[in-house]
Amino acid sequence: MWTYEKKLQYPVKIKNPDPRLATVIISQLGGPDGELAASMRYLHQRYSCPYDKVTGILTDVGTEELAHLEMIAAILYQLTRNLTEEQIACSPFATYFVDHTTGVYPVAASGVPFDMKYVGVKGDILTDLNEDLAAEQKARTTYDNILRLCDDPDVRDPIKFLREREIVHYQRFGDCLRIAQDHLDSKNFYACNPSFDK
Amino acid sequence: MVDNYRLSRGARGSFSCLNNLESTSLSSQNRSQNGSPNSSSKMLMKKLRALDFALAETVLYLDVYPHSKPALEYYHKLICERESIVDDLAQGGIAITHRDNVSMNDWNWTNSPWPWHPDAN
Repeated sequence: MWTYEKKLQYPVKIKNPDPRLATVIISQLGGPDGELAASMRYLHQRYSCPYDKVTGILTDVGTEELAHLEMIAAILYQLTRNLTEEQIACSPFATYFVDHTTGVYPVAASGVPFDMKYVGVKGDILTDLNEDLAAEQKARTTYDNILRLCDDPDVRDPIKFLREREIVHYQRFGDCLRIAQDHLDSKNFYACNPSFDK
Repeated sequence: MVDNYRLSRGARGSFSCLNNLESTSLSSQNRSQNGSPNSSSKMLMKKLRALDFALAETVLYLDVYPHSKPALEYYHKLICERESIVDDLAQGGIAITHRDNVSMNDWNWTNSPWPWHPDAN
């Protein structure tokens, strides 16, 4: 089960609101490669995982992604504070505002709400780990794109932190794939599903 | 009459804490007049965030390399340091989890600022 710690994993302190920036960063909240997708993916894959070390990583990284979700929400909350109606009306944020005001709602930058279809749980640990490696790279690319669109150092700082975490997670999932493969031998490498076949 | 006393987090289990009565003012040491964290608690939070990050990294490493002696030693060093920081925050009226409310008279868990507010960072 989960205990909540009342602090962000990394501080977010943004001086200047920017609704236009919020409109793109929101993809890391509710988009296909965002933190909600990541946490749901890893936390659900762990149930059918046959190897303790890998279950540990899926649990701990999945939990950390919830903390990252909170950081993104904090960024969005701070970017949309104290806005005038004029600032909202003149930005792409207006289409989000009309449905959600300045509430924080998981959608992609395109306006498509979060969908569990973004998450794969195939019940085969080799398949699931390969999905996880791809997911971390897709998240990293999304952060790269956000950095291309963002000048504000107060926003760049936590975004760069989150981007680096994706790279570290990629390394850990690489370790997990190696561990899972070590349990197989040359005869059954692709002939079985270690999560199902005995 | 004592109207406010603080228990150390360790002593809460047994009520021997009743020997640790100290009267402290209702506004806790880690908060300024308007309730927002003061500079010493901001320092403690900064230390805790840094420590917890090192801890998170160590945990991920140990998940994959559970027999690493250096990693296990580092893990225990961090856990030990963490105890005193969380305790200092708790004594000053800032609970990191809902298990850290040490006051017998105040419930500070729901106090502002919440982590997504700039004042909490």
